[in-house]
Amino acid sequence: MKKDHKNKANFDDFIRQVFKDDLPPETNRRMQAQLDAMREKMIQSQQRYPDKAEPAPLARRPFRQEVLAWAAFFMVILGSFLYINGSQSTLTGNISALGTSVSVIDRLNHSESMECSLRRENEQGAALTYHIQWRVPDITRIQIFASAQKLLKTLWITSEHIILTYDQTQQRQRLTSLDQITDRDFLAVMNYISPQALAEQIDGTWRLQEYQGLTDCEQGNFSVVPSLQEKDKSFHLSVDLCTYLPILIRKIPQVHQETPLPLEPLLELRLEWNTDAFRDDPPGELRQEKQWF
Amino acid sequence: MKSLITLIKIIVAAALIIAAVIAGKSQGMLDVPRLVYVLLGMVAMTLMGFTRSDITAAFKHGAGRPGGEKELRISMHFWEAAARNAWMLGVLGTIISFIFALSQASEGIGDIAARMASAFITSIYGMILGAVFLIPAFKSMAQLSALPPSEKSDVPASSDNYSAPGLKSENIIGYILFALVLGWIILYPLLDKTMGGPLNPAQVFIYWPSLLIVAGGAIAMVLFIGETGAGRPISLCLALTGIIGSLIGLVQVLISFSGRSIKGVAAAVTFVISCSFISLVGMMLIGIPMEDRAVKYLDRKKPLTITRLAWFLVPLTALIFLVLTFILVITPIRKVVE
Repeated sequence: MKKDHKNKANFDDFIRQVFKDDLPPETNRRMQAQLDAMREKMIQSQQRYPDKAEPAPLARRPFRQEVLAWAAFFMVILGSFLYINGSQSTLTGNISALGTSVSVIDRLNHSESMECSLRRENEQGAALTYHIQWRVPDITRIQIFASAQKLLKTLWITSEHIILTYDQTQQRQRLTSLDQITDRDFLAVMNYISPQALAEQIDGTWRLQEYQGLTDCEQGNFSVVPSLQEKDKSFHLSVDLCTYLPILIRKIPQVHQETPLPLEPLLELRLEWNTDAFRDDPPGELRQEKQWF
Repeated sequence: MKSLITLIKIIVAAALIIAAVIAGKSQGMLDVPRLVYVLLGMVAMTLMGFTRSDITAAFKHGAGRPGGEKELRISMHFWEAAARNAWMLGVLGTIISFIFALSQASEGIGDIAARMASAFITSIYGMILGAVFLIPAFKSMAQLSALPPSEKSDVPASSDNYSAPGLKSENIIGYILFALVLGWIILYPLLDKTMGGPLNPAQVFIYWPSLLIVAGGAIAMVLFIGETGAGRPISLCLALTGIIGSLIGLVQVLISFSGRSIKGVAAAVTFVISCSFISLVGMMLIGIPMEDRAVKYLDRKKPLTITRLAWFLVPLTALIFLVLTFILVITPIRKVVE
């Protein structure tokens, strides 16, 4: 306020010196009015464009920019830190699962032999053990055991022959297409009879959903979104992340609130890849096709 | 004679549109919700950056009505902005659809790949509409250059006399409409139960590392650059940080791919997509409307050339990054096991 008065007095003195006080009263009054108007404008102008020496309004003070600069700096540092430490999101998990699915399907389509053992209960509640073997160019043997060594039946599938053998009765049945298989014990595992069948499942029906404890060259565990027909079951697939080949598939009934205890798997499939399959002799009809052996 | 030429033009344009619709429908290229999104988004962005009088004048000048130098300049910028908005909205729609394709339940990899590929349709809509809106922009430019020298004035680029005017009612309506359009295109598919929803949009669309790096980097750049005499270049800073972030992510994708690490590829692909998404949304929501309004209130002939370049280049680079990530995601990684 004092500063304002001082400026005003200086300015008035200057005007009085330049314009001597010898004007007629009317002219003097008009000049005074002009000066007042001019002074008013100067004050308004100063308010609009404040002098640098005067304190700026709070919103325009430089420290606000410093705060913003520090905030920006910390945002970049924090973002980089999160990224380097492998921050996860739904999108990252889905892309990982999709990339793994693509690689698994590619590896399945390029594998040379597959061996898998499988345990399940049939409709009568009897525990069955399956031994499925497959090798290039496309020959599959499915053996069903009632107990450790008690072989019940065998199914041989090639591109030209399908032979079903009941080992207890030595009965043999020759089929012309897979559609002719009516035995429910075999039908239950038709999705796992070859790498191509597995690849079709992963490509067309299943969708890998989550990773658990995924690191390079270890086992990656996925939950699988099952097909609509199997919504009451929960699927889990474990993949060897060195080879991108599946090593374990488990199908478990969905846990309901009434039965919160962990349930026995409906199906458990353990897979081994690129080993020596078919040490046993195949049936005579198949033995003729020598290119496989 | 003039009215006959106009009639012929209208008939040709109508024939082209009908042909495009029929061809698009038969080739599976007609996606009405995405087209509606681009059109509504354009209306919203136009309202965010321009006043009612600017829009009316621009339509009149686009139809060939003469005008003064300043009006023609604003109209030219309006049509250029409409083309830019269409293009940016198209690419933003592609990024959003791309994220959906990767986030939702599907019927296998073929289905995901098909959905990722179809995400690019929105960019085609944006590009076509952008090309259409460039026609009146060039018309206004021709009118401007045809003005006699006496009617032209050299307007200095200055911000000294600039005091930011408050938002007009149409600008506020534009912001609300834009939020609604963006909310609709993001939330609607996420809530769809048949597609595996409801999903949390924050978990799907916000990847904190890229959000923090793009936002922090852009704020830092704006502070370092300061006033350029043409306002603060917010959209340019967002564009640059977005491109830098995406490039870092892309390099990381390539390194992880050659190192055969799917986890690394996934993190880097998420970073690339998220950087592009955040920088585009930031530009469209914050930078561009301010710069559009500044053309009128700052009495500038046009925004900085580098800023205008960024408007068109950022969506293009985002699109290129998306194509590259699409290829990398569907390419199997083969490990050599010793």
